[in-house]
Amino acid sequence: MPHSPTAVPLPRRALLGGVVAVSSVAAVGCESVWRSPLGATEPTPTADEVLRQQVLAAVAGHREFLTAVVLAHPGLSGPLHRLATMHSAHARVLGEGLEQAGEVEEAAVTPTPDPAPDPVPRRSGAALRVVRRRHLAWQRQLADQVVAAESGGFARVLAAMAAAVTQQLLTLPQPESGAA
Amino acid sequence: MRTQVWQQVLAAEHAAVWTFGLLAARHESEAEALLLAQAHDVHRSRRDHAELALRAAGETPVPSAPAYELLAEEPLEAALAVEQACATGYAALVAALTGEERRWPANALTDAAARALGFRGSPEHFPGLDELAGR
Repeated sequence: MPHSPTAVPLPRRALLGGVVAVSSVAAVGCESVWRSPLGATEPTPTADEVLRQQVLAAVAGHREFLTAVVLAHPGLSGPLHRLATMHSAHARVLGEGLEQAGEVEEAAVTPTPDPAPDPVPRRSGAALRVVRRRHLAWQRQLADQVVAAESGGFARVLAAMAAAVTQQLLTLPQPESGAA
Repeated sequence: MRTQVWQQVLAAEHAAVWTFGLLAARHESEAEALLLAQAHDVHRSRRDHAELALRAAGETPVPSAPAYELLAEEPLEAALAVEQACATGYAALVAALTGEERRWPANALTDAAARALGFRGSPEHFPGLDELAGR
C-alpha cells in the first residue's frame, strides 16, 4: 500500500478559512450591531476579528523591534533577515483575510504599533538574547491563540505561525556567552 | 469531519512508524540513528494517541498497512517527507477541533516542524499549510 500523506480537507479559497469566513459573515450583516450616541450603527467586530487585529499588531511590533536591532547592530542583519521575512509573510497572509472580505475599514487594517517596545541593548549578544526571549514568548502566545480562535481555519493558520516561529528560534545563532 | 481527520492523522502515523522503523536500520551515523530513533518513538506515541482518540469517539481506528512506500531513497530525505506529511495532518486536525482539543495537534505540528530541521529541512513560513508553501 502506498504511503499516503494526509490530505488537507480545505480548499485553497479557505486558506484563511476562519478569517475570511468571519469577515464575510460581517459583510452580510449576520453580526451584532450597536448604535452609537449619534445614532449611527457600527458593526461589532467578531472575536476572531479582534484576535486577528491583536496578532497583526504583535507581528508589526516584532518587525519594528527587529528593524531597531538591525539598525543598532548591522552585523545581525543576516541572522535576523529570515525572521523578519517570516513576520512579513505572516502579516501579508493575515492581512489578505481583510482585503478579501472587502468590508473592513482601512483604519481597522492598520496594526497598532507596540506602545512600549523593548529598548535595544547596546551589545549585540544581549540584543540577540532579547530577540530570542521575545520570540519564545510570541510562540507561546500564538499557541494560546490557537485555542482561543473560534474558527478552525484561523486556528490552523495560527498553529502554523507558531510552528514557524519555533523553526526560526532553532536557526537563530546562539549569543556568545558573557556578551551582555 | 473530525473523526475523518483523526483517521487521516492515524494513517499518516502508521506510515511514519513503519518508515522510521525501516530508516533506523539505514542510518549513516550515530547522530542520525539517534534522530531517527527519537522520531520513531514520538510517532509511535502519536499513533497510540490517535487510536485512543478514535476509540473514545466510538470509531474503529484505521489499521496499519503491511508496508508503505518510501517517499525518498535517501534516509533523511524520506524522514523529512514523513514529517511534512504528518505536519499537514496535524494542521488539518487543528482546524477540525475546537478549544483546548487543539493543543495536541498544534504541539505536534510545532514538534514536526522542529524535527524537520534535523532532517535537513528549511524553515517555512507556514509549516503544515501546503497551500501556503513558498509564501
